Amino acid sequence: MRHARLAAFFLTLLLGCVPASHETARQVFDRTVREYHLPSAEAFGPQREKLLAQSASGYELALQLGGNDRPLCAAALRSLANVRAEQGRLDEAVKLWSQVGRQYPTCDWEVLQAWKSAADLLWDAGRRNDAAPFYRQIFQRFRSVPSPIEQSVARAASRRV
Amino acid sequence: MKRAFFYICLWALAMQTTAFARLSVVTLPGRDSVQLTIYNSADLTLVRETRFLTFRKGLNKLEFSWANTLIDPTSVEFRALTHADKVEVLDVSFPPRVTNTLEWRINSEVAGEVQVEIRYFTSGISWSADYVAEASRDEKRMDLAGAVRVNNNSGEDYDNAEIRLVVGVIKLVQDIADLARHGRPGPENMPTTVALDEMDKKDDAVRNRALGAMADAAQTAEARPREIIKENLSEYFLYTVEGRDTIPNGWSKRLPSFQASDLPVASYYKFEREQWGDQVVRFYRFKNDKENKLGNEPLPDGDVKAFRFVTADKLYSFVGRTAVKYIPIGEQVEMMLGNDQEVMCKPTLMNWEKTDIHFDGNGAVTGWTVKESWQVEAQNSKDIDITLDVRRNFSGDWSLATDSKYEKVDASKVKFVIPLKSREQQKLAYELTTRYGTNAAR
Repeated sequence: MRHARLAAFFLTLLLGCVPASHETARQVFDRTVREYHLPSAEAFGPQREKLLAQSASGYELALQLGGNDRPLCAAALRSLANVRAEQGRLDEAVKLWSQVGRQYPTCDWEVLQAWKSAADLLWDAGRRNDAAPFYRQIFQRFRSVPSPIEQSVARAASRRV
Repeated sequence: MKRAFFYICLWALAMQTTAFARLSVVTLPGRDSVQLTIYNSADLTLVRETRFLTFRKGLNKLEFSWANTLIDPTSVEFRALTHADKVEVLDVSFPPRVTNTLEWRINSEVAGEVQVEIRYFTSGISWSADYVAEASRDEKRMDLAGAVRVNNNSGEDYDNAEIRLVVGVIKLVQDIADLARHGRPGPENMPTTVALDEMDKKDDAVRNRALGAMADAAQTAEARPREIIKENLSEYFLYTVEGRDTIPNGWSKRLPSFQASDLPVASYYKFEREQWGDQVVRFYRFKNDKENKLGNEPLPDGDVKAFRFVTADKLYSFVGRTAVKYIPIGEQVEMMLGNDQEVMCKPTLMNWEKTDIHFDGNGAVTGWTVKESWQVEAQNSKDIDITLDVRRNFSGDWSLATDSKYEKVDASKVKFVIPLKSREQQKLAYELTTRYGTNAAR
């Protein structure tokens, strides 16, 4: 928790305490991805924990500042869920991934990634009944989209419904 | 070769249930080849990269990250080029441990090397054309060299890439660009993806049709290179820059595109006060066809710098610079190269007279005629012979009397074409009669 507060503090300082705006939110998001979240994938032990905590704080801040920049907020919320999953907080992660679909339903790509991440993680954790609704939603919504990636995901989801 | 956050790793899995377990790294493949097809009109580039991957029999994982790039992740596509019937994408997932990364789960019935293609669209890569024209001393022949400048701000380095440029506009690509502009929130240079995410389903359909059309166009043109392709009332041309080049992120690179030597050119000079004031403007004119040693491809719009050799040992001087629009095959090109102070044209009003005045019953003027006598003095101070095109604009019911040869351009414009030898001065005169009021017949 102390790391999270520190990260928020430093991010605010680094950005020069400029007034909240979409541009600031985007800067916070990009910086969080670049300086905390991506390096966390290569780190171990306490360093990894610290980077994940800083990532979570960054995404929370981006969400606060994002206002009605829906694509950005959707990406920040999904990324926050990813961090929670990495921290072992699976239920919290699933809740956040679900929120992506509810709060930003028009952001197709973010919704797809969120539902798919939730479904796969629940499936791999042996919670197949909890995973099934996510797979079903993916199949129903993305089966007729012509994008090859989305089609592949929908096709795979249909096998797990 | 690759930026830190754009990588591909291939893993083999012993069991499907051990998700995310890195059991063994089979290979970390570099790109075998990269092809960039740049659609300037829509800020989209089709990237096709091929790699040789070593698969194990059974389930393999392949990871692709677009973090810190402008890659449109929804467009990413994987396919096997060899053993295509034995390599199948089973699923795509998005591992939470890294951001902006997808993971293909691929079933392979073969163990060994497979050539695969990864195809996607990115924004942030653009190109512009420019030309250098070198005219002979007498301005009758010209060498023309074309170059393209490729700007890469996509977030990704492209090593040893084959670069293909789409000249002209594909209608569907224009549709997608319009949609992107229409729906784009936030800053102007935001990735297209963001805007596209906001579109409704109808827009998505157009977008996907456009992406498909672009990819198909690239394929078709590959089979029939350097050929005009017409589609949906749009004309476009796929131009392949010879050789391969490395375009790192953040770099702008100028690449030679073509060289044509000793092509015929017509230089001429124009004077039209209404357009250019009292200056004489120089033009070079040539045709983009085979007879004139061009015509292999349309020429994209771009800047032109023109020079002229002024001595026998090829010292040359700067003539001017201009911009040319897209030039289809067979079309005549007219390059306006700015004023030339060595050529002078000066029209002078020598006499003015109002005649043939008519009045109504109350003594008010109802009709009159104005006669103007003009003298045009033209002087060539250059060391070469030139042709000067002098254009004069008139209005109303006018007529012209002159001993000089002239040509009517339209209802209100005439032109005198004056050949001028080196250091020659000529004068021409004309009388302009303009009828007003009841005197006017039109």
